[in-house]
Amino acid sequence: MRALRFVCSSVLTLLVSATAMAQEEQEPTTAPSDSATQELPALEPAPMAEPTTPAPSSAASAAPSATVNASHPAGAIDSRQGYAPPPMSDAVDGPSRDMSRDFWQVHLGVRVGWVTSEGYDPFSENDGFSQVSMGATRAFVLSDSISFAPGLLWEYGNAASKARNAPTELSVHRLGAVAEGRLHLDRDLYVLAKLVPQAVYTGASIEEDSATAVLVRNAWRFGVDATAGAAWNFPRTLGVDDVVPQFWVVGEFGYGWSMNQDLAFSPDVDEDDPRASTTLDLGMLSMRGMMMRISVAMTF
Amino acid sequence: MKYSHAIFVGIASITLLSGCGDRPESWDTPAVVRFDKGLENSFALIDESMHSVHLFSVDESLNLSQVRKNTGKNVVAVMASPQADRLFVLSKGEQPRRKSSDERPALWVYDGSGSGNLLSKYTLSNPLDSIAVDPEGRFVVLYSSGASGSFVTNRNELLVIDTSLPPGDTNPLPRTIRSFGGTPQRLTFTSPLNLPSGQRRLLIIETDQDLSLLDLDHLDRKEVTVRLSNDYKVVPAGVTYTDGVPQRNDDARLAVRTTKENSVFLLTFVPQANASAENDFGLTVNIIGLTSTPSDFAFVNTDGGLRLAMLEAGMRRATLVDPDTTTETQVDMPASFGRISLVTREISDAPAGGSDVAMLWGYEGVAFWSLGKSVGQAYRSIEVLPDIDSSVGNVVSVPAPNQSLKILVPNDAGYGGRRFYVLNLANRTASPLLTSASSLSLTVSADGQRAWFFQRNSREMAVVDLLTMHPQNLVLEQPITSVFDIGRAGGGRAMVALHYQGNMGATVVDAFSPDEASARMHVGLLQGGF
Repeated sequence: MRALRFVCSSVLTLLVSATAMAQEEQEPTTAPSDSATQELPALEPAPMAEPTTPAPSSAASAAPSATVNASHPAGAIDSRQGYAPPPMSDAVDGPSRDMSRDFWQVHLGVRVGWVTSEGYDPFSENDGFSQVSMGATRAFVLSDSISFAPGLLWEYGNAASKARNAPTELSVHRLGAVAEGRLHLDRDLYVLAKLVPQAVYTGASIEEDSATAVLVRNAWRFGVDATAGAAWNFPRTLGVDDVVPQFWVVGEFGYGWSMNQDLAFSPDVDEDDPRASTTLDLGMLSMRGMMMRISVAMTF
Repeated sequence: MKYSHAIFVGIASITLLSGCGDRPESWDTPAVVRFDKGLENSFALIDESMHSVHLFSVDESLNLSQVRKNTGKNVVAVMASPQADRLFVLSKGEQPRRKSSDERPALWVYDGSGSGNLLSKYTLSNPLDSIAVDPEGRFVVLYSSGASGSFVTNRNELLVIDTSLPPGDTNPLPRTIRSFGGTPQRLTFTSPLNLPSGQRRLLIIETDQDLSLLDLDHLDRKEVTVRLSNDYKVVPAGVTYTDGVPQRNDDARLAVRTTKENSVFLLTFVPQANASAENDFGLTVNIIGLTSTPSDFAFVNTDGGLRLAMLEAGMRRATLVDPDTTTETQVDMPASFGRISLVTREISDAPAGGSDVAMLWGYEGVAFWSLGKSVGQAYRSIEVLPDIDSSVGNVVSVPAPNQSLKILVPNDAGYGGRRFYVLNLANRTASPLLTSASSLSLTVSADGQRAWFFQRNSREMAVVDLLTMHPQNLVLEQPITSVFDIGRAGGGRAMVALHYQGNMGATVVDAFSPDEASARMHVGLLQGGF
């Protein structure tokens, strides 16, 4: 529960700060939305940048026919071919890349898993297991609306409880390599499919009074997450200026799988200690099940 | 702000969803253990909070195999059968019962050989809290000690269960013994007695003012009640019985001593004179007067025939009474002995002619009384063991093949030198062993090879090889509560020391080569597995 509170408070703090940032950036534009619309003509030269657009020719050819939408000042929706990226130009202030898809991304969030394994029962009063999730990806644009973002992920969670009055604790680290595919539906919205093969470290302990030392069971196992979700650049949707960094809220849902781990506890003593042969077998732990991940991502 | 609210609600929803799927309540229930029992090839723990019996057996590698079985709620008594092959668990069930599905009181019988199978369950209509087990393992008698807490209790009601038969309308069989105000205090199962009407096994019920005899071979017949006085002030303190000469069926006898009377009641089984009586045996009663209250007694065979030998507390003499004539013979003793045990079968030099040898023990050491010389040459019949000068509080027998050994445990009060003795009846030697313990508990192995000594709630223990008298001291990791010597799967034996810490632990040692270094510590015996 401490871990859950920590994670929740971290995410909420992050979200509130992100929202506050969005609102702070929004404050200068508290004028009616018309004023924003009035400034749009300043960006109209965008189609003129066609020669410098690195996007594929098909997208580039579609760009002139696109209608510049007030809500999407730097990009366009093509009713036939989906999202068309805006042209890039060094002539305008801001990033030199298309910040709606070609970006570095770091995220901080919470991963919630539903672990139905009986081996998880000693460590939690319910099936929920929350972890703080941190990661970074770098997007490589494959086509107009599709990008691929490899990266790294680290997730950490902790559960503590009592098993028949014996304090227990379970810590899980996940170090994963991210393979994320993105389909950009809009300048502020993309859907994603993510595969994260990972090394899963579980550290379990139980303070059983019948043992003279804390009993532990630590192990590395292989695991993989498969999730799908969406990312929404909500500050920009709300009208915040196109500034760097930008903030996204990302939601994913999927299945997290990892290899079984036996819970054959033994005392946390040296190998030559006679007590080292003591074992307490509480079955198998399978840290797998449905999961969701909610995070706030910063792109730059 | 509404977006941040939405996000907050989303996070809160996730948090709530993460609380789905509660674990079994068992994980939140601490183990409560009051009863443990060592059995033939396993040991049992009763986890009262989970209403389960855990039977553990030991394999060749000193690992434990665990079997968990359901048992009744509110366990009040646990006993092992005399052969240690079955476990009896008496439960009160759910009291009060509110629903028809609420559990009734019951006697649960489990296999003690390691499988832990529930062999029988005898359901009772009312909760009882005391249990007496037949030394031959067939009968179990349940009764109330008066502390069951029931609104109304009939303390004279006995439930007789024949464990060789399945539960039925007459098994358990309730029997209320006739009472003149007394209630049962002790139950004694006799071996088969050759009575005038045939061979019988009897249940002797000592109340706090009289005596009742129940024919175990004819449980449908009324009990025989023997009133020891008219004013009900005579309180039985113990019984002893004899079948007499095997070829005769008119010399089975029963003797009763009391708490305060300077006399012993001698009951002889005779043919039933009353044709309308339900029982086919009668009793004649003789009262044998003494100068003080007897502290112990036994029927003994002497060179003069069957006698009732009686010891009087604080008196340096014994009295032999001819049960046929009630003629008394005084035998002077060199010391005051309070207790008597027959050891004829355990010694190598038993007198010719079938006379007995008794071991006298108690306040002032130990002596052997050769009853082959008791009548004619009484002064030559007593042999005192000079090395034992302390008060002996308890004598523990050793099973075959070392049945000639007795372990003498001193009284805590008279703890001279903190010595205990291993007495060899074959050569009448007593090996003194010293202990630093302030109180001593011991467990003798069923194979008669070893005795394990320990002090409760201490980490120290020792095993004494009963052949060589070699002690080996062990210091375990946790305080010891109970010690068992049980058979291992695949052969050999193991010592199991129970630790009542947390969810129970056990140290298992190879009984044939005890060594802390090779001991296996098992922890959390009642942890998990739900």
